Amino acid sequence: MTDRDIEVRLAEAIRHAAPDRLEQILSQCNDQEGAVIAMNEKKTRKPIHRWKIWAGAAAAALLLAVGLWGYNANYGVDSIIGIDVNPSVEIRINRSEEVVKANALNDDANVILDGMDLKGVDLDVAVNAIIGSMLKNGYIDELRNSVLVSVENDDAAKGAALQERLTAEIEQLLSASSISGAVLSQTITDDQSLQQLADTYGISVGKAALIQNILQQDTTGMWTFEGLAQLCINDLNLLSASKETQLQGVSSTGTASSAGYIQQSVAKQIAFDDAGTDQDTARRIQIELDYDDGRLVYEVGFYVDNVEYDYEIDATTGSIISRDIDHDDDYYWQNNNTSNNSSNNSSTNTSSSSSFIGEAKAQSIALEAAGLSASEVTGLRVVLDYEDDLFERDSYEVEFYAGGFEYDYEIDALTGDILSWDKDVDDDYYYHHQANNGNGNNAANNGNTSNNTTSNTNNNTNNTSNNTTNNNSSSLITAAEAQSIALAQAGLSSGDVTGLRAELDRDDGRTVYEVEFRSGRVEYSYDINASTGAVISYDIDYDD
Amino acid sequence: MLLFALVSMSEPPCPAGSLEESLLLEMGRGSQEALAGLYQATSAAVYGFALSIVKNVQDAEDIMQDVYLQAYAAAATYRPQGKPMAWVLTITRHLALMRLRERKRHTATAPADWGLASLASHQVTDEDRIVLAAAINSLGDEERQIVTLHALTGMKHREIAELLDLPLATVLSKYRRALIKLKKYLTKEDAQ
Repeated sequence: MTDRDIEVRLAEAIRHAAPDRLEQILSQCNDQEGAVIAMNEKKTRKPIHRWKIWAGAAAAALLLAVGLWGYNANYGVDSIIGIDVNPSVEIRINRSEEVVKANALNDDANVILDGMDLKGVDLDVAVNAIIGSMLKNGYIDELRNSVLVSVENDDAAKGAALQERLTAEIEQLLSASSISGAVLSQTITDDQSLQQLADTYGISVGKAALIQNILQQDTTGMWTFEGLAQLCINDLNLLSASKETQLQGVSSTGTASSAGYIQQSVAKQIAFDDAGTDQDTARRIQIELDYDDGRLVYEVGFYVDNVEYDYEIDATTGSIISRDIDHDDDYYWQNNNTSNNSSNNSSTNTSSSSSFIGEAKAQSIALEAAGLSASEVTGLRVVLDYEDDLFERDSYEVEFYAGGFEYDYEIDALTGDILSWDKDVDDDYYYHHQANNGNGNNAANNGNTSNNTTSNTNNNTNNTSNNTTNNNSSSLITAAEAQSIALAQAGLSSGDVTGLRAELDRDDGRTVYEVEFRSGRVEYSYDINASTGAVISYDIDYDD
Repeated sequence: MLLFALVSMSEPPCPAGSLEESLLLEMGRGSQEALAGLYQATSAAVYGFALSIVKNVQDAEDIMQDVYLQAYAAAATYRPQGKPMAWVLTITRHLALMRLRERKRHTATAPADWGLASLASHQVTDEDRIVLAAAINSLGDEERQIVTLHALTGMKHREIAELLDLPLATVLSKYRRALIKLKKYLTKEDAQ
């Protein structure tokens, strides 16, 4: 039974066991969509088409009735109204509150205004149509329920009245579609610097004003205008609401929907699980809503004993974007060296991890085993790996690079024993030297050969000839040859080992032999390039 | 030629590379056909991965259904990065871990056989039950997840390490150990 046989059997079994739920899934998708469409049709879809015709007639009638006297009243812009969700629409109205012009300020807004002729239409009707289109196109829903209304008018009182009226109107439109909206509203004055910011980041003046206000709330100084400009209004509303201080100069009704995001407690739990700890053990727990690269994230930070954990967790998917685990070596030293500093010892926090050997020790064990010193390696990394399984031991994973190889050591966190190690050709490493074909026992030389075959950036002519033989199946080494290469590498002879076998397989597009054997309680497995005979990787496991 | 044929036969039936990224993009535009395509290409992997985490047949079925509903809703936000399989499995992992936490809170322990006995599908053969029992009884949680992912998705160890948030070395050694344990269990079982 080969490894592949086992995998195929397992895959088959799972495939057989998997239920067929496609129909249910599709019908549930339909239910969701059907509901949304039905709601919108009632309220908005048909009216848009009717208004278009009606609007044209109304405008014409109005023009006839008012005549030339009304020119200024009808075409002179009195107020500018911005509606931002993610689509940003700007409506310019005259003193009679009829639309002079409706502008799409971003791509999403082009979708919203597509085919809509709002010129001459009453403001209320236009707002109704725009919000309706945003609902229909899925820009506003239960997950993203925030709308920003910005009114610009020379007359502050008039602007404020308009702001209030539009807020109420939009709330009503949303609730008619069974969405409890969150409306942010503000009056803004013609401001050159705001206009410049808006132009630079391709957003509306209203959104620029909101972002400036939100930046005022941020006491950490971590947020930037540029970063916030990428977010939709609902995300901005959520970020603003997560701060303790109130948003200045902006009225806010309703609550921004967080339904599209995982809850704080869930984010915390994800971080705890990853760190192998829990709410009761972790100290100085901090969690904050933040953004990264246009999406919302949770920053979770806490301490377990002398280790500081910092996580960034995607607020949508719950996946861990980054983790930073800092081992405070001074703390460790002070708490574990009894003869050193007794005053610090009084604060020792006893827990299982305090009896771990520590990252520094794990690192030196790994380096010693590799026969290297810290100055000879790069990319040195030590991570404490907590095991879920009670029977598995907690271990330190030590990784580093040297001489074109990637070393991985797994070291028992309690005893300092090497549980397993792995020495891999570092594919990214650019090797300048040519392989020395004479010495099959030398690990570095074997690595060389394999590097030459995988690196296409090397202009060396010898290298090219190596490459040409690489994919030629007729020149593959035999299984017996692969076995003897692996044995030579391990410093053993076929008489020393049991279970010796070699299997042809493919790995990363190469044809390789998987050679396995045991010697005592140690198990060896080698991947050997079947074309060149180079050792690609090997793994030595101590059986427990 | 013969070698090529052998090699291609030993490839997993649904390598990650065969999953078209365009499926997700079409899904983001609301295509249910694309959703069905994604389901066909990934449902076994999603189910197997969920099962290997929650260790309960009923929960794994529910999670599988939720994964596709969530994927359908979230596809519009999918950013092409050449890893559609990893994206779907990230959602799976997240939902499965949530379910696991709920279970823990309610201290409801999963049945020892994961409810396999109640598995209705007539497709499941006796041999299938033996392999599943081997995965249940002989493997640690991470070992089981790693070997399931490798068997069903054709993902590379490096990609699996990324998905599970584990160091590559851990994935390699656990994968190796998992196969050895499975082999031991199955050899014993087959001999009986």
